[in-house]
Amino acid sequence: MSGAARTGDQPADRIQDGIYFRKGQTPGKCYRLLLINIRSGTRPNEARAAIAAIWTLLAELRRGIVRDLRPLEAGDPEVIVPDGGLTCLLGFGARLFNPSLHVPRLVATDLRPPELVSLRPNGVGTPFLNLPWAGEEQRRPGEADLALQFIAETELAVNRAVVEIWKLIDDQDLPLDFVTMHAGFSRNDRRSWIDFHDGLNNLESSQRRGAIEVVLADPAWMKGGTYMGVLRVSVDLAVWRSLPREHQEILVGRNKLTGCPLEEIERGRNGELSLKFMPGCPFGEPLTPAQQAAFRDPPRPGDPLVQLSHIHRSNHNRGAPDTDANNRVFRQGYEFLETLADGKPCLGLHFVSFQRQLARLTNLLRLNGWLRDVNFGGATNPRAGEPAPIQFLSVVAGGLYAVPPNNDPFPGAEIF
Amino acid sequence: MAKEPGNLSDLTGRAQQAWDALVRNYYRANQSEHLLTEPDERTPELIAVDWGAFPARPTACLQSTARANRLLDWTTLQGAIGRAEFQDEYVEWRTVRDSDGKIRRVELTTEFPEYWLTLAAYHPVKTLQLVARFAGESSVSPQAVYGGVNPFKRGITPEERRAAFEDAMLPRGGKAPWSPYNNGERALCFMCQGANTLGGLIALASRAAFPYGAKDPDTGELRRLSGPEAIATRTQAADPCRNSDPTVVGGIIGLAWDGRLFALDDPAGVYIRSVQYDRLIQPDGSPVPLEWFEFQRGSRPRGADQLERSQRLVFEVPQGLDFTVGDLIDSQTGQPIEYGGQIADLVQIVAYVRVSERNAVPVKPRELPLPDVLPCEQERFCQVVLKKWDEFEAAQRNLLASTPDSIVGRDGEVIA
Repeated sequence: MSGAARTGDQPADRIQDGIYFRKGQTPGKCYRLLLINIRSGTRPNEARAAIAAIWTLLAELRRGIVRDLRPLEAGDPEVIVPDGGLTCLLGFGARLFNPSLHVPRLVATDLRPPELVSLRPNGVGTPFLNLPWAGEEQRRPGEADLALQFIAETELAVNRAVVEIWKLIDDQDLPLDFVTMHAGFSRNDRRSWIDFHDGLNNLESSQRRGAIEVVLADPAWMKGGTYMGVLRVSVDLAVWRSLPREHQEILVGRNKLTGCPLEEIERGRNGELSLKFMPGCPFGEPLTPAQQAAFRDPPRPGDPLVQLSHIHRSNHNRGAPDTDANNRVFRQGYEFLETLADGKPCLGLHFVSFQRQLARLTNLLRLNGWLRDVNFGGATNPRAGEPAPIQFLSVVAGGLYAVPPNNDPFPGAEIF
Repeated sequence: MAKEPGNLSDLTGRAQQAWDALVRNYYRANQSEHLLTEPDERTPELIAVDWGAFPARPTACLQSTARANRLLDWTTLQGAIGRAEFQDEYVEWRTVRDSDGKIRRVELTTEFPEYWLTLAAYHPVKTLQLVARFAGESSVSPQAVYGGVNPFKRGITPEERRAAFEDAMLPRGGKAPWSPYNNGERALCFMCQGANTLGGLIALASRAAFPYGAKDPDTGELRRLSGPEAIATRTQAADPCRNSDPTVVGGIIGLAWDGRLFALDDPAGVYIRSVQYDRLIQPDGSPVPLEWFEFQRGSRPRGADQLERSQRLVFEVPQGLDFTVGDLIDSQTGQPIEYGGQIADLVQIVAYVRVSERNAVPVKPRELPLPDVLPCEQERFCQVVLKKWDEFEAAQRNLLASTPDSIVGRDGEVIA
């Protein structure tokens, strides 16, 4: 459905912290996503109590309180550790609503948001037609009952959150099991592993709430919340680096050095390509807000090859973010670097997006003319001299999560 | 001479002339220097404006996709009421069910009523043949398509045929069409919802074809209006909170803002761009192949023209398989296909626009006060939707009252 564009006064939102959509907010440099399952056999009240205990612990951590450092005796000093600007976010995966995995049933199945499903684990065209799963040796779990996102300015703050939860589970014998943890970091050069500026055409702050806030009562407990999509995307840098810079720029739709949007591609008599970028660039002379907007979110180009670049495929209609047809999502991704068993680096983008409907994200990846027919960008039937389709992205882990609005004792507590 | 939508060739002679005159007449009110009545050498490039086929308004007003699905498929002995009232995204569908209520086939159309009125006025034989084909019958009675009028009567004029056809095949007073050949009982021939017309599309483009802008409250700079904002200024021939109108309006304003000349592509039409066929899962777990969707009534991508211009889509499980559409699962929701709207939700609709390069004409921004945009659920039309929902529910209750052995579900639906 079309969400409401909200240009007038509106009530305060109830969206959880950890989504840096409000004006002036910048996400911290360090990221962890901790995935946790609730043990089968757990009763709803036990699950509720366990999650509430974690949420209380996290609230303390955000105030710099570590339980093992609490004063035990009179005269002990009160220890407050640097909190690192920690934010915590709680999401529920489709697994939580699956009665075959939770006996007795944890949550009524009709409380599952219709689009909250598990990504298909295998088969042709999974999880998306041209964004396939990585090979088995690279694959990691991405789905769980609970997802806890931690963002902070320091590695310590996000890691401590994970460790303190483990201590709590151990101390109180909570019916919870760690599934896995995904880490990420931000780059202060605002580029990605493919060396281009990343996230330039993300949403303006004034547009973000309309794009992410759930307005449907379908189900009612999610109204005022949001949905999170997580795709840990591995980048095959060898394939990407085999392309000449000009081809990389055509596929991305920006100048590699300046970030300027590609506007037109002139073709010479012998098929040679000459790239014309939008005059000016994000660096250099001070820009007015309108100029900045033009670079971040350039207008739709007429040139058919430029239309097929990544930045235009992923923002097709260039319209209002709260109109469904535009499939806008608020991205808040992090880079990652790991080492594979064979010594090669496994690196990529830990893509995270928030949207008011999960279809906004999945449509981006499933619609023709958007990203359905390519792995990244460019023409599927290139003419002479144009970059051929390349396959260099694959999904290491992925999951979809419902992120309910704030509530006591924890977001979404009412469904247990 | 204006081409026929989809590059069809049903019309000849005077019918072609009548069609051309009708299309040209629709542009008479155009006062924009940006919008051309037809593409020419100044507008060589093509832009696709696309949106989802599933109507946004019922979902927004009822706050539930599930309820919207039920309302959109509401059919009585008088025909498909849900379609005539609420299928307003330039696409309508017919849901064909078995005697046990399971869906056997879903047909979608984007054919304009004006085209069929022209066809019916001048080519009654071809009209009846087409209707019979869509109904899967060897022939149809002229009276069932032209009401009480014999279209072959000596001396009958095209205007008389047109009026008779219109009376039988288009809705009157908010009800479904009288004829079973366009009210869904026996066939779906063309669109009948009041907003789904070529005249409406051209008016939408004409009224939007100006560089409308407003001062941004944050920056003080003039910026272009989004589709929802422009509609809220009441300068547009468009409805808020649909997928189509805000997307088209926003896209057209953006083209004017960039100083482009543009025209609806010839043939002007609204087409079925793509279908997310692989979202559907067969009982054995494999995805549904694209071949089960039959694209009709328009040219397919071929040779130099790679544009999809089909105006009709028919989806059913091939004969010989022991299951039907109702046995398929939508992998995006995990739910079985119970409503035609779930198939519409897979479909992407498109209008093609031919454009010039940027700054082909000087941009003279039309500054308007930045309007407040109401949340969709607060728009006036929601009162109509909610009233219709009440009527629908009352009708279901009456149905239940006359079915003493039925079991009623939570939402009032008959379970058994």
